[in-house]
Amino acid sequence: METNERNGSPPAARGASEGAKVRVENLDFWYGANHVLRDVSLDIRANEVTAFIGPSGCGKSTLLRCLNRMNELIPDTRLEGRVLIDGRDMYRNADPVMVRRRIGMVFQKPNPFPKTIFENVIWGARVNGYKGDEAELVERCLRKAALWEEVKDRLHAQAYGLSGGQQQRLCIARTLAVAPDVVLMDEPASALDPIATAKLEETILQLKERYTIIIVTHNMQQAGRISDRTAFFYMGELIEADATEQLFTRPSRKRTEDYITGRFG
Amino acid sequence: MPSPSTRPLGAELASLRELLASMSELVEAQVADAIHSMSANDLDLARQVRERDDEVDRLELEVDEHSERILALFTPVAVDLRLIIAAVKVNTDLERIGDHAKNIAKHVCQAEFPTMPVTGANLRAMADEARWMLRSAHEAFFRKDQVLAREIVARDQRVDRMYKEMLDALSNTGPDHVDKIVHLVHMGKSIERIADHAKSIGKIAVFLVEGVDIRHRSVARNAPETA
Repeated sequence: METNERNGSPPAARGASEGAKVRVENLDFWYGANHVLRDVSLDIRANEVTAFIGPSGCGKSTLLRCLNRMNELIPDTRLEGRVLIDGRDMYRNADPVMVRRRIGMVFQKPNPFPKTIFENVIWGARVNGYKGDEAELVERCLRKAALWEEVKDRLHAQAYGLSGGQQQRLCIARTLAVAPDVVLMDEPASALDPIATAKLEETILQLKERYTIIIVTHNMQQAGRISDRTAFFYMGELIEADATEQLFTRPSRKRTEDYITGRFG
Repeated sequence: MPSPSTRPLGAELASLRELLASMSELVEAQVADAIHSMSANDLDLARQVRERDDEVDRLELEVDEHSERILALFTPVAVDLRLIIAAVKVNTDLERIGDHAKNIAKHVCQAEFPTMPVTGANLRAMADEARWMLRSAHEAFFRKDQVLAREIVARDQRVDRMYKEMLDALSNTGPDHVDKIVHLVHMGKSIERIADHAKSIGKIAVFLVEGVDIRHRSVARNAPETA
């Protein structure tokens, strides 16, 4: 077992543990010959926000996309290892469409459809055969995404008329409409101003009561503000995963400390 | 990404350390001069100590302002954050030590007679011990020497014992020396408090290096067994 660089004890939270919502086991991933994830094992707990941090190219976004099989859409890629949700392997005997419904994703740049606010939210649910009360579902998802009060009087206006922050929360509402268990967010606030970022972070904290959230961020302070646990990646390896407070005050790995304090490079 | 030497936060932290080191050296000099003025009944030197206390206070404000600025602009984490927290705490201890040095000097001036020969208790030895602790606290903090820091913490008991012995000795002195005894008790108490603050700096040095808080062990959460 790998040991702590400072005191010889095992590094925190590297291996699998019981009761994980998402479990990554010995995951390796290649883009062609480029080996971008190396033997990553990590548990993600239910109803928590887990942040992935690390320098550009460290593999954190690749891992995020491995969780809902988004990388399969890219040619000449290869994956080894396992991704389990509630103990079920997402790559063996699992329908990719089902996987992506259970594991929703919000991207770096808000990407609403060129449709109304209402249509944006209901779209995925309809595609997945939703037959219930559409108005109720739209309202419920917009409320969960903390957008309802701002758009309830203009649900049939074009989504492009919303601000960037509102568009991002609309994308969250759209994701929630297909009833995922896990929501992946790839730098969701990187295109937002501080006020919109604060609103988005508030939304994320509210969402974790019902969902398991995994967020990739380059913003250390954001990871500190909103995540319960943080995982630090470097050159395709998981260096350290621990409670966020622990990782940002007393990281057990020297390399983590060098990165979060900006000494790295 | 910037290297350690070129990153802006690194330069700010280096500047803070320099400022704190200046403060520490000034306070050490104040204590040394106060003790010397007491030993030699040097009233001029005692007056200088009292006057220089403004400089200690000025540096205290400067260290706090610099720390606040770094926190606001750089949001440091981990070892950098610990340095800021430690700097603010050490700054407070140093300022209080400066006050005690001034207090000793004040009593030297007010006593208007040699104070040292009055007591059989070893006030000078106690002062030497406190000065060793203060010098060692400086070294432990700036050299990040947690072994020395823990030694300082343990050493405080010796000063406490010497102070108690001094009080016992003074309590056996006849009523003719009441005026002198009052001054001696105040000076002895100041030396004892200087040692307490040096011990506090030692504990902060442990926190800085190890990330472990060894204060208030009986109520501390997750207190390490060997701290």
